[in-house]
Amino acid sequence: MTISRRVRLLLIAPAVVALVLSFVLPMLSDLRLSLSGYDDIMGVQDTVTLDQYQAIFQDSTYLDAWLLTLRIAILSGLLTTLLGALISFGLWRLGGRTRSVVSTVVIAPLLVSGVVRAYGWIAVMGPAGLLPQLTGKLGLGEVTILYNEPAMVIGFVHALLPYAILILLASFDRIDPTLLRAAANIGARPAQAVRLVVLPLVYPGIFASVLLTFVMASAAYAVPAILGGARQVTAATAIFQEQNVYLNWPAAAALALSLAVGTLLIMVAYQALTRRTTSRVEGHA
Amino acid sequence: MLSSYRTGPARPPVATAAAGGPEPATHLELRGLSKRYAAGGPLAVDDVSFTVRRGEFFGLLGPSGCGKTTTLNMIAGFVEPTEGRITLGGRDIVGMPPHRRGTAMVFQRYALFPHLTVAQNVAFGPKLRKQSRADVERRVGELLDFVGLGGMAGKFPDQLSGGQQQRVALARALAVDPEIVLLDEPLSNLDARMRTELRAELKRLLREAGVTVLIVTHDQAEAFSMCDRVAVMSDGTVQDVAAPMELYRRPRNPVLASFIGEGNFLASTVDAVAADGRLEVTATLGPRTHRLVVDRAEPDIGVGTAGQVLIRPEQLVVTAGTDGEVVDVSFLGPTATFVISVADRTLICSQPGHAASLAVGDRVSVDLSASGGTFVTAPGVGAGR
Repeated sequence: MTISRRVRLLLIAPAVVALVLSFVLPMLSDLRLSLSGYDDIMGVQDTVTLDQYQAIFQDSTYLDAWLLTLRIAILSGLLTTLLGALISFGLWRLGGRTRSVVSTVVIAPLLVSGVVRAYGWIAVMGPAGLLPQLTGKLGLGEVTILYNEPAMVIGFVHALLPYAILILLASFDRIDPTLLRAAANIGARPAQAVRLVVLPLVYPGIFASVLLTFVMASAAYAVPAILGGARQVTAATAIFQEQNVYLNWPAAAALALSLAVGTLLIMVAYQALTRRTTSRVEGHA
Repeated sequence: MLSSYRTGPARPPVATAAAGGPEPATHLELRGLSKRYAAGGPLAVDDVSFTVRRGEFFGLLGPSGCGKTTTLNMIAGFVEPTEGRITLGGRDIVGMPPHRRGTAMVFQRYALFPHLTVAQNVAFGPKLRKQSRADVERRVGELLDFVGLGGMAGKFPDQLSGGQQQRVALARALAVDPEIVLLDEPLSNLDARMRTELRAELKRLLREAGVTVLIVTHDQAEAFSMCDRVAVMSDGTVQDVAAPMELYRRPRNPVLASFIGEGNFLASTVDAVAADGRLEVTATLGPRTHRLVVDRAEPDIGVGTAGQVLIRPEQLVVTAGTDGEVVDVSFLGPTATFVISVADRTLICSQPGHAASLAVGDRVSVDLSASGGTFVTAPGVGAGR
């Protein structure tokens, strides 16, 4: 059955309308706001100026926030994907009942609010938490990583792992398990079969997982706000501060827009870099 | 032909009776092989033993679920036997991981690596053996020419037809100089028309490669046309191992007789053993009792043994008469099959297509004494197994 062009357009219309109302229009209003001036006493000025953007690129606080965001998002994306790939590979090989039980456990954290999960880590990593007590007893000294970069990365990996696994498991499931037998049959040790056959076939999933978790980590607010404390300022927490603490809405708008455009540029560059590898596999999987 | 591109040490030539003693050299031997998947569960493979000679084409024929695929997987090392021994080229291979066994399988759905080109698929095995790049490249080129895919080296598997994919799978298997090539339902993935054509092609290629071949199939025509000897399996056990012609002409028991081809079974008793070893038997059909001289499938059958006479459709002689009636005609081209109702029995008879002369409703008689057949004992009776 072929669906006529008109029907197809009609089918995507609700999505387009929703996207325009909830994304395009807010972004346009954000753009307008970011071009406004701001006065400490008078508040938002109804002018058109590039002052806010100038401030972003001149103020080292913002630059530090960008770099921290980038560092944490990249690290979180890579670690989450690595962990997710190992778990997905295990689940793929397990199959059956064990697989359905374990995948439910892995996906279950999505049912709990991210804020709650982040607070959970305070109980573990906080001053009187499990981690310092444990390391103290082991004679390693009380390790306190809360309100620092490792705490944020751990929080992100925990929060993003279900997404990585959902993507990667789908990718593994597209591989015919007979291929492993075929490789073994002509002399490949198990590790060689995984490296030469399985890995190339899950590259698209790995790339997609890194990208998605990176983007989610770079824009997330709850984890850095709760586990990063007041001194670790990321792009998202900087925007919140401008908006809700300093009430400088134009600056917050300019920061938000820069974050969005920056992330978009990274995504485009990343996809251009990985296209060659993934197109071969996706076209012939 | 294949020897021209072999890079490894020359394989011993196909053993002759003189070289290997009185029997041709055994290449693969299964002894008392059994597999039970779940503790307390049924045996998927039950005490299977057979030997495959060097250079032989050996078939494992049976319906789905008979244990033939499990047997194949135990040889390849994907499934470990519960009991029994497998020796390949003199080595005991039970417990050995698949990559060290020297078996190379052509999978039912080929299992080509989708992310690699045809040439890279074939090079996969040789590359793992740390052969020089030039050696691998030359080898791959020769193998692709050998299977007639010289121009396809840079293509990806999904750009090839089913038959071409199969030849890539074959080249990939041959590239590792396997002790034995295992074919799992090699032609079941192709349409009927291509099947016959590719069967001959596959057989020719494998013969030229000079390898020992084990073919697993549920298709009798496939097993018969490709194999020197066939083991017929049912319910996890081997019913018989013999050349196709033997299996068809002298089935050792009714199970084999009905699984291999079609036939008419008539209850009968042995009256006498003729000087040439054939049997004189009496069989009853409707009101008449017939005396027949038939072949025997088992050696030790004496006078008085009760059993059945198997008469193949093409053996049944139909004459003018009034004993029975033709109730159905299927004209297939090369042959025509008739269903004839005689007294309370239904018999199947076939004639060459060009000479088929019967029509539905014709009155006919059956001349059993002119028909010939094979005497088969019932399972558990006489020497049956």
